[in-house]
Amino acid sequence: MAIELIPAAAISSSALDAERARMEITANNLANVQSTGKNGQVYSRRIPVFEAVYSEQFGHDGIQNLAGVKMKDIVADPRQPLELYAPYHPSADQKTGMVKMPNISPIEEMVDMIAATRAYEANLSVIKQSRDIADKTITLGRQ
Amino acid sequence: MIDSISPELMLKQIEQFKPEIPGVGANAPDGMDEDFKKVLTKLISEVDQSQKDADVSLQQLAKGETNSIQDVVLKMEEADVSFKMMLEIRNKLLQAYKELISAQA
Repeated sequence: MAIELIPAAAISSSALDAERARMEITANNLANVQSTGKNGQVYSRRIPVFEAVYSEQFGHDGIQNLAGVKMKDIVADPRQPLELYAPYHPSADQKTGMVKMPNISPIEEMVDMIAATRAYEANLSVIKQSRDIADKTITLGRQ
Repeated sequence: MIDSISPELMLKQIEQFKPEIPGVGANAPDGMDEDFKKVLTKLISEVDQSQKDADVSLQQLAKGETNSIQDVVLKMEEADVSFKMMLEIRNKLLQAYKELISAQA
């Protein structure tokens, strides 16, 4: 971009992207609460891993080097899958009649969703304030 | 360190600017005039570019090529703010020009 008047626009934009991806992961976890699979292959809860972004690899101190955040990785939750006794279920174990369910707690996901929403809103207000201070500075010369 | 403002210094500065005001003193040297014109033209073209950028990203969103709403909105805001800045500069210039004209009348 040629002309950059809104401070930290790119940084806040990267944060919004990251929170958006986090929201998508939460949505995917919530959507798969009831998913089962054959032979004990069951969906496991995904967790986003965020990482700070620097525009250069060395010397992280300069303000020009701070370039926001990115989602570094999506990892699987290592907790054991839940088990449910349902011998009629096609995914049930032949001998024991137990069905493996994903290790997802809807309550946990809801809390995560609220946190993601609040984080998104926080970054939105950073953008808003940045725009406002740019606006105010420009109209400084007005009588 | 900020230099104190002295009337002598200010008079000297006004003396320096004198040749650049048309009709006052000698003719303005072309270099200075040309430079400012260049700066202003560059500013206008950059403002124009940011408007075009906003337009392109809006089209991309409409076509489904990008999912990033905030990118589009931010570019539109950037275009808006830079346009406002250009407008302020133009207003300031016109205001200065008008004051000069009324000073001569």
